[in-house]
Amino acid sequence: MDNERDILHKILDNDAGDDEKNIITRSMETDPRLREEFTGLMNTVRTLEESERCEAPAFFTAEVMKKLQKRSPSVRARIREFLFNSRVLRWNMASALATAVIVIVVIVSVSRPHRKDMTTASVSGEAATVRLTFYSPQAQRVAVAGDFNKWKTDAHEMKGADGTWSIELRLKPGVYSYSFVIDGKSWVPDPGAESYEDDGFGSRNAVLRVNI
Amino acid sequence: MKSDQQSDEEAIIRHCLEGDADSYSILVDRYKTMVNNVAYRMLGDSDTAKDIAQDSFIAAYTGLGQFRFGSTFSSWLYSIVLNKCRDHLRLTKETVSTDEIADIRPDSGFSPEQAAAANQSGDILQRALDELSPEYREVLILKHIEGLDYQEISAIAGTSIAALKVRAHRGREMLRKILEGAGVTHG
Repeated sequence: MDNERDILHKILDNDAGDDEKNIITRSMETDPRLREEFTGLMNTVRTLEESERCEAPAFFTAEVMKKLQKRSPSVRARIREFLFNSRVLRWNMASALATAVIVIVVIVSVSRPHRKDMTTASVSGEAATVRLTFYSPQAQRVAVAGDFNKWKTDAHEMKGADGTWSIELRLKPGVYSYSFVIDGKSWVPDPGAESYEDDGFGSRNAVLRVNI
Repeated sequence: MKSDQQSDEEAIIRHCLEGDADSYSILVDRYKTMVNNVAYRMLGDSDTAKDIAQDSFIAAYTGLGQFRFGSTFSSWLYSIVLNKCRDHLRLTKETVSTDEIADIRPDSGFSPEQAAAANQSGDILQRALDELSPEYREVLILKHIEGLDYQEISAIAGTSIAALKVRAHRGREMLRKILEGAGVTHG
């Protein structure tokens, strides 16, 4: 009987061979107690397997995340964050005036067009070629919209490569407001712009100054 | 060979180790029901299970530096939540050792009052599991509720496959008697 009971459990563990299954089948035909025991064990396993899962309560994930002690970022992550994450610059009137003075001095003292790391311009005839670049590895598409294209979000699609998006624009001398449009819905001012201005809707646009 | 899910989870863990804590919410969302269910089946109380499940995720995050890449995150979580449950049970009640209850007590099962209460609560199985010692409960939960094989359970519980099979055998016998005592398993 003990041997047969062992075989019952091997069947429940999917370990029993055909010979052992045949032994049990034959034994159960003549032994109602064994049959009853096997049925009871099968029902026990089925009760376990079909038991209702205890779902985690609402806000479970949020509560865990709130309790986590944030790990300090690695040096590599901090450098990447510093170099590539977009930032919103806050300013006050004093710093704006100081910046304006510096900009005027630089414009006056430099006869060639202003060059920046992220936004560059070259002159050809009446218009200048301005190159805008933007780093956004998650974006599927990025466009630039500004007063030079009547804020159309599909007029100037940027080309992406390894998360860096770029475009060259031919613009006449002047001051232009613009913003990047990510995936057609998120508006982000150029982190590399020389200055910004309120857009009248609570956000900011980048400002591009084109000189010949 | 790694599955896509395993590679995805390893990438998330690397992000977390670099300080991107927000990525961890993906893993919590993915495994919260699994961890909560194991804690509930081990402890028999949904509020305590929630606390233990949350503690398990926090412990896993704190110890991510010790995670062995190549193993699965779910196995690691299972071992953490089971350790938490064992600690909790040790602190809250005196448990009977495996040897002491190796022989099935003839009176094991529900009293009429317990059976009525279990019927009312709608979870006779849980009341029956609560009657077992944690060693038996653990192997039955992992084997028959979570559907793991003995090799995985062995890695999680740190117990040999042979010993686990003996526990499963005894645990099923005990559970059958308890459930039959409550009038459940004869179908």
